[in-house]
Amino acid sequence: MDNFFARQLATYASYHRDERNRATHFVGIPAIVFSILVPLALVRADGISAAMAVALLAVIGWIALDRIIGCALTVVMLPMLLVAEWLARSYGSTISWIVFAVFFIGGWVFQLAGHVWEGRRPALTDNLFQAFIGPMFIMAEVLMALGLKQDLKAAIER
Amino acid sequence: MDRTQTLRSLRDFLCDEAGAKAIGYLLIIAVVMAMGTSLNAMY
Repeated sequence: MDNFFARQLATYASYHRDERNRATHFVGIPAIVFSILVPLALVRADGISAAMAVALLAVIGWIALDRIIGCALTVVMLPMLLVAEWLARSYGSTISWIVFAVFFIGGWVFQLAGHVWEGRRPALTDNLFQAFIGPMFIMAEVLMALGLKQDLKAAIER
Repeated sequence: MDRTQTLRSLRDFLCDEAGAKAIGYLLIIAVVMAMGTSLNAMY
């Protein structure tokens, strides 16, 4: 397998060889993704929030790159989006921004701790597009652990 | 170009490197702009 997605995944994997670093990303990436959705849920037009629009755009992009990983990420994104919408509607902007700060900073603390162990800076500092690949990498790891997406194993372990 | 061809072209573009990068960067810009709007609305 040597398509664009596999190459991007291989690049991301090369920044995440240390098991501890990979483990911290299982907490950090979902926390950061969720944190971003919360203040975006405050911005609304005609009943559609910016969180919904951004989540939709993200899953379209992920599904285009890999159908199985993209669909699995959609399943994970949906409850995150629902909680973000509920928080924004129920508690308003101040609480939403506090939730954002806690999850965003907390998520990055996990991520950066992992990169200290790794001894290498995050992939997105060299290529911003890698921020889009991060959630896919985590999901690929989960699916491979479940015996699925074995075709990506060679790309990741290259 | 009929509807099927248009959809196929769109799908090919999204699955291609250019399309994936377009969505990725568009997403980053959308997040930054929407967060700016959200923050601005607080004041």
